[in-house]
Amino acid sequence: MPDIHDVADAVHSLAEDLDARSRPTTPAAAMARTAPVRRPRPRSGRVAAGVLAAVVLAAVAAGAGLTRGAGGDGGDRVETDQSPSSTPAPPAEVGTTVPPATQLPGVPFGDLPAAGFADVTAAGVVLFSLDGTELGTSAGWPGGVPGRGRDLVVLDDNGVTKVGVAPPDPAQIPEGCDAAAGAGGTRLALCDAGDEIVRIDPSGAQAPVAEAPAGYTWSRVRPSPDGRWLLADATTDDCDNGMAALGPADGSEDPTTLVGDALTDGHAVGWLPDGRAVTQLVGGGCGQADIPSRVFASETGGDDAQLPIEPRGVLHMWSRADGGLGADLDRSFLRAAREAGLETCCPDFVDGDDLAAGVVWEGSQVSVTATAHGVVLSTGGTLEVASVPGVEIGVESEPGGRVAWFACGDDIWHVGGAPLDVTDDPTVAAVASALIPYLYCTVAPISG
Amino acid sequence: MEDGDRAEDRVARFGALCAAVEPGLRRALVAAYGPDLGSDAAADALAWAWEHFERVEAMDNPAGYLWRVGQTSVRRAAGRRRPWPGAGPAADAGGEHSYEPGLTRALAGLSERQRAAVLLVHGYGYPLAEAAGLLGCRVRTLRNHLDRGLAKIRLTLGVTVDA
Repeated sequence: MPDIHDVADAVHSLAEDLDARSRPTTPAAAMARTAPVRRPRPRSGRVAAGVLAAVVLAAVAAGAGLTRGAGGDGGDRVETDQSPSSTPAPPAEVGTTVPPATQLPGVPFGDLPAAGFADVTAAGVVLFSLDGTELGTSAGWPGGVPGRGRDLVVLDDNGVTKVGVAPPDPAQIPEGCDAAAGAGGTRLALCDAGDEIVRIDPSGAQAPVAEAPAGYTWSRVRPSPDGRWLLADATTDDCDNGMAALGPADGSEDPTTLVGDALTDGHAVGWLPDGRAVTQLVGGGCGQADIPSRVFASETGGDDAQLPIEPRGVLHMWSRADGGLGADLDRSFLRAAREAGLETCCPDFVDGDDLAAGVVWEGSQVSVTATAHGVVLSTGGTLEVASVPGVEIGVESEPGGRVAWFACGDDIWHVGGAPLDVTDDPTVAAVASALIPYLYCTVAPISG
Repeated sequence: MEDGDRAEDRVARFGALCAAVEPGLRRALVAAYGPDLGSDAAADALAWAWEHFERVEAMDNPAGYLWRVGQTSVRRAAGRRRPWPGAGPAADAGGEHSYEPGLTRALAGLSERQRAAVLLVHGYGYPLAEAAGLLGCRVRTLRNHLDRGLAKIRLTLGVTVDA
């Protein structure tokens, strides 16, 4: 058995090896590399500055002996030290492609309800409806058994019904935090290495909501469908025993433990559409004797009811992914439109970088587009104070009407303009204001 | 001529920024994501810094911000579920390295932030405040990552003696 000094020495030795195997980036290489972001077309002034910089860059690069990649595809890559890679091909991003999923034979996708429970074991999954009716089973997990805190998604993969791990919540994670989730106009995040649950407004204002109980670390938090409550998971620091807690999302009271303590292991399953929190008593905790698994639905007022499901494994929520999974921006938009009560429309007519969509607002079709990791290059339009506290948006003229824009986390959103109905300032500002609370991001200030 | 001087000055200031942040940024990202993804992420972050240099230059903690840019780059390039390659298969086999067998596996079991915190502080010897700056978090948060990361490593390796 190694002692702690062996470990310290080994960590130091491994760090030195990592250093030797990493590839430093020179300033010239950074300048020659194309940043992995999409940008709107630059204005003429920036083009001139870019050309000038390129001239200087060329001189610097020549002086530094920099060699560009021979791909000729725009120069994305600059040759640095290309030591052999031992990294296996990484899995595809969940949320942009179909994740590793397991088939549900004999379960027609069209017959499934919108959501339900899934009893997950290493051997596979049993799918239930929310009323406990068994819907189907499948064997195996090609991508590994889903972790306790992950929701599942059921999708139609070319006529085959499959169940897999749902993409993470697209809510923006604030700096210093590890995860975020949004619902009902409330964004909550796990911060300070799981010590604290924080509520974040669209303006970026943060308010602490709940500190982790002594000896525990928050591992997941989900706002209720109406945004007024939170359902959180925590694990003990010593033996990863789980507990689930329910509390007001404004932090006015400490969360109340629903399941899990020193003798039992429990976790939060999720929210029912009627606003009840579902939790599971998984078994005995921290080496205690095994106890039968049970599932409860708790009203925020305090009444609990046991649900007619006796899982063999860990219970998860699943939902139906109609039309596939979509990327983060698509999912953010669809959730925002749904929660704001807006009808979506007309994506085929809209041209957008990473999101091309539209909503219907008082009979008018209003385009909604977004660019991931975009940079705002304002043409000097007016500012509008959105009807969201602390948030302002820009409004500018573009062909086809007035367009509202705002920076939402790292993304730039545009509302209004061609090719849909001609829009005016009040319309684009109103649509932006309606969507912003449900995009679960921080809208950067425009002035200053 | 004036434009040329300004451009040269911009390049020079960017060079100074790179000299200040590149080693720590790369080490943090390599610790979190491995030598290949981490190196690419550091390069992407610095490329982003060049494109947004005025904004980055004005930041109190550009390294902490660029750490986040690097994280985003990794997420875009490799998705959210990434095995940590560590020092490669040879490490755990004990071959050419002097590591405690299983250390790579133990580090792979940590979260990215925990791994970065452990390697920055205990591997590279960064002071807590500097390591916290590189990861864009408070010292208290870094301590939490460190404590939990080390506890998991000790548990995985069967180390029972406290430091």
